[in-house]
Amino acid sequence: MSEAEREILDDLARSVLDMDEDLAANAAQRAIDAGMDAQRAITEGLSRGMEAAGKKYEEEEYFVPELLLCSDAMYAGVEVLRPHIVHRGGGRGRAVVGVVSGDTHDIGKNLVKLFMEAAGFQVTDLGRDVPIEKFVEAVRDGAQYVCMSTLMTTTMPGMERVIQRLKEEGLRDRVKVIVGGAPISQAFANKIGADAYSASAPDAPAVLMRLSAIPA
Amino acid sequence: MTWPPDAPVQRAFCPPNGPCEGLPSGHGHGALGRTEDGGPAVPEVSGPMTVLESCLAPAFKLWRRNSPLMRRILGSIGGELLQDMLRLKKGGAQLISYADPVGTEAILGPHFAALLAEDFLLPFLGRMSALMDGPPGEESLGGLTVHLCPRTSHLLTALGCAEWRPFRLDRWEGTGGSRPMTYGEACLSCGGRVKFIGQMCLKNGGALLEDGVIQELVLTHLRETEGLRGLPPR
Repeated sequence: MSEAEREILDDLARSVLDMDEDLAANAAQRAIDAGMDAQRAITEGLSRGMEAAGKKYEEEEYFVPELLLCSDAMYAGVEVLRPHIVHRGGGRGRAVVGVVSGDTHDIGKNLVKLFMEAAGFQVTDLGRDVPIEKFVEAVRDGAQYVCMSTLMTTTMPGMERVIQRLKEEGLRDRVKVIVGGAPISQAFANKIGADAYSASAPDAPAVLMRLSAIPA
Repeated sequence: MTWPPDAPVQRAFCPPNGPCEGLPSGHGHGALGRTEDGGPAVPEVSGPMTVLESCLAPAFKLWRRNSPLMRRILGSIGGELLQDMLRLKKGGAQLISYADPVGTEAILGPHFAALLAEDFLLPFLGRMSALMDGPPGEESLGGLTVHLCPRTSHLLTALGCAEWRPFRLDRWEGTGGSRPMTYGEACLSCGGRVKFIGQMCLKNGGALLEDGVIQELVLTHLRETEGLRGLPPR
């Protein structure tokens, strides 16, 4: 790797960590001008910055506002790079994320989406207050991972209902189900028959990769 | 007086000109609601970060880049909330709950939590306190007690902006001497005798207050600011 490439990738990572959208867009344009592969600029630049931000979150140096600002910087860079991405297939797999029916709190879900995309998953965002049928449809359409979140104890049973419906439709074996959110625990995930529980948004991609034996 | 521990707290905030019918518009000139089993329903106003929950990322960005404008927006929300509270007071409320579940330090982190206190909570509570001091009338919150969510209370004490002061009540009040009053009963009996309380969550309203002492939250760094839209000048 040339010194110039290293500098661009470092700037991309730093722009995310420093929540600097202008630097992210500028470094992304420099990557394109230098003939760098856009996917590489994302994975070795922007995503590296997002991983570092996630680490700071786990270490309680960053909190939700900082993560949201980091994600804005990352998307500013991605917007510049997106038209130059050469699609090579499904990446690490197709996932859907959504907040279960009855709940509209989506900060955590948005962060999960961000970290999943940064890790190379193709993510469809079903939004918040998502009816059971929309999760089922997504699996029918080929989603390999269903990621559900909720912030409220009252809407937790909705997760079990989605899993139950997937079973009834004969779709359960086709998909890995991961659950998360403030009131969710590993014990709850086990109880409702989910495949995995993620304790925090930055953990979600690693949990899925472990689940499917995808190399990091 | 009864206090069902799981008494629903009615959400009072309604965006101006929004599609929903909030408690202030529905009950502003009449009696406040009761819970299903007849207990008192405490109206709740939601703080600004919860109000802005669906657009938090732009809000944080704005706060970082243009803090004066963000302060004006927060002031505007604060003005709306105070108008709601005036309507609730006029409708008979003696106790109003204030909570901002998204605006807690656990979510915001220390930096933005301190900003929230500085740019919103202190001026907002300062104006509220002044309205509580005012002479009786349509533009007065005199006779009202506000229960702050303990996460807000503890944020203020941690920042050195408030301190706790014991306030003694008759521990048997309203119970006929059969048991000490509960926290919820104590909160209701505070109506107008202290301005701010909030040592524990109102969800724990059924907890017995064995010694009859409730903690008053005394705000020590109150100040008022411009921008609390729609309120009459002092």
